[in-house]
Amino acid sequence: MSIFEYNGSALVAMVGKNCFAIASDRRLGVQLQTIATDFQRIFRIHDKVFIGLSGLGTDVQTLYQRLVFRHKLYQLREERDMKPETFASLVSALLYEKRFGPYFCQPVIAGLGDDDKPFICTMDSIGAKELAKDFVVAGTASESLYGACEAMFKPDMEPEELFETISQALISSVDRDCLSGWGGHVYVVTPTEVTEKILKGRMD
Amino acid sequence: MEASKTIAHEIGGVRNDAFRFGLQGVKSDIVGSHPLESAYHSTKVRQEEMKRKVLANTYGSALPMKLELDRQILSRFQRPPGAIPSSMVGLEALTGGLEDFAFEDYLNDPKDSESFRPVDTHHGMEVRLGLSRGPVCPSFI
Amino acid sequence: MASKATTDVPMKGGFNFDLCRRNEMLANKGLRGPSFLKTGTTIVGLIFQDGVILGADTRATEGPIVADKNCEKIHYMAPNIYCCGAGTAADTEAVTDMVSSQLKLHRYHTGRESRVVTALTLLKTHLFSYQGYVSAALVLGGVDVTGPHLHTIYPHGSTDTLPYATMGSGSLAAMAIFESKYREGLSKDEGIKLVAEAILSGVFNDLGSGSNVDICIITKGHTEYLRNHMLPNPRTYPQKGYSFPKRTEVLLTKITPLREVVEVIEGGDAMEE
Repeated sequence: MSIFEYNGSALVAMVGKNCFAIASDRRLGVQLQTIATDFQRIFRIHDKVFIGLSGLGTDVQTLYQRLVFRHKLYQLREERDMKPETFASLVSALLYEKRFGPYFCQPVIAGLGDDDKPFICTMDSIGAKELAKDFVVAGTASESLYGACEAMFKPDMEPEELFETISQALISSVDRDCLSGWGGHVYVVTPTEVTEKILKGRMD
Repeated sequence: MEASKTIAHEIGGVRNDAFRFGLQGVKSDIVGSHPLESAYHSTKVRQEEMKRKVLANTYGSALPMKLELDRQILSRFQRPPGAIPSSMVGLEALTGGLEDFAFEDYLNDPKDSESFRPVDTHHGMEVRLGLSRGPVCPSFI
Repeated sequence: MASKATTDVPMKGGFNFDLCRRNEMLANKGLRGPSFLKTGTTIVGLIFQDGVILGADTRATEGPIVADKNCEKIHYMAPNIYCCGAGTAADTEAVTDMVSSQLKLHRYHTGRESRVVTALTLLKTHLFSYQGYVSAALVLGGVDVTGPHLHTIYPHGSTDTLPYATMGSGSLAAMAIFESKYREGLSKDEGIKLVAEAILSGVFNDLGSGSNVDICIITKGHTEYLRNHMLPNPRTYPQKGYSFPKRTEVLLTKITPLREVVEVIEGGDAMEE
């Protein structure tokens, strides 16, 4: 069994028109046993940058704490927030420094950059950046998420439609993955507001 | 011999944190946790050794000896232990570190380490002068 | 001991082996580690009459999954040197970035244009010292004062100097084209056509390679980077898309308005308001 399948996870981020959405499932399991149904995998770095961490729960939390530390250090030194591109490079460097003993974590980064241009990217567990213009996925449900997003994604969606698309993609994908599910957690970020929604999903 | 009166101190950070580095053992201390680890730590030393030999063969043994002396003097120029680490610009100018750029310059930089503990200047100074035991900066990994 | 004490200079960073033991223990318990992002890859290069042409496909794979359909595999090293990377994506990216920084520093130091051999030596010493654990297979090309150069570098640090070279999983498909059609003194247009054909042969005959063709032409004092020179497999999004009749059930909604970004005009009269 792969270490990624130990806790189970599903993560997806999509780009809309001047906005982005990032969503995850809510299950934390130990193999086939469910431990928690309100597990947090998406974290806010600052108002316009979010990171989702799929993979092993313990590494998710360790890595998140290290990232928060590094971002606060940056804020103190530079007196500004990190751009999403900069943040992606930071995550990449943090993962690559453990090249030979990696964190079992696959991050998804989404943010609004200069002029509120949406930026999304994902990485493997040693920090190979993979920039995309449409959507990125990670986790045990990634294969079905790829399929769902490929079919459902449209360029330049408005926030409401983007929310509906990402939710449907997430829910339909985790229904085909027994290691993730129990509803979803969706963030839709526009230049003016952050909307956080909790989705109802199957509980089996 | 003045040197024998001083207390030897560990060079570098602590390596006996069982959670991070595993239990102390003869095998794990020699082999390391990854086949690359021991090679990774010895590469720098070996390269410097080779450079010294090349210099000795080309210019005679006086030059590397003089450089070694310079290196020792320059590595002694340091700030007192405290919040600001020494930049070692003189040493780096001598060794060519200023024109060099490698992973150690941006990966796992001790200056950005979250396990950093503010250094006690008095203790650090005592260690450096050989009056007390322990590394100068205990929290740098 | 006194001489040893003088070497107590501030610690430097570098790779961190903290998690190796844990990961090894987990692997022994039957929990496989993750697979890394690979650039399955067809990368090629050839020397033509005025310089060097490099080419690459744009597919990145993770096992059998296509992870990225339009990634960049031709990396910048110096204004006159570029490098195609195959193997583990993180390694090729990190190694080429680091060496390009070294070259830049070296240029500041010497005030001269970088040479291809300098890049080659830096890359091979780095890869050799990591004993093949850093798995980057590279095609390095560039034009310097000594003329055009093309090299291939293997993950263990061995290198070749060739008039035409291919690397990656699609190397055989691409080499078949080069072996039958390469000749000395190709013109620029002929060279681009041949490189594109070799990449296309990799794209269509090797499953690890796919999507588009990137090309980079380096001549004396001039570099041309043709990102997505050919798009043989364009993506078509469904025009209408899906409309979802039943809305997703939302349990909780929380809307946080973001604070306004206050623009401070420096030197202006921003304070008067």
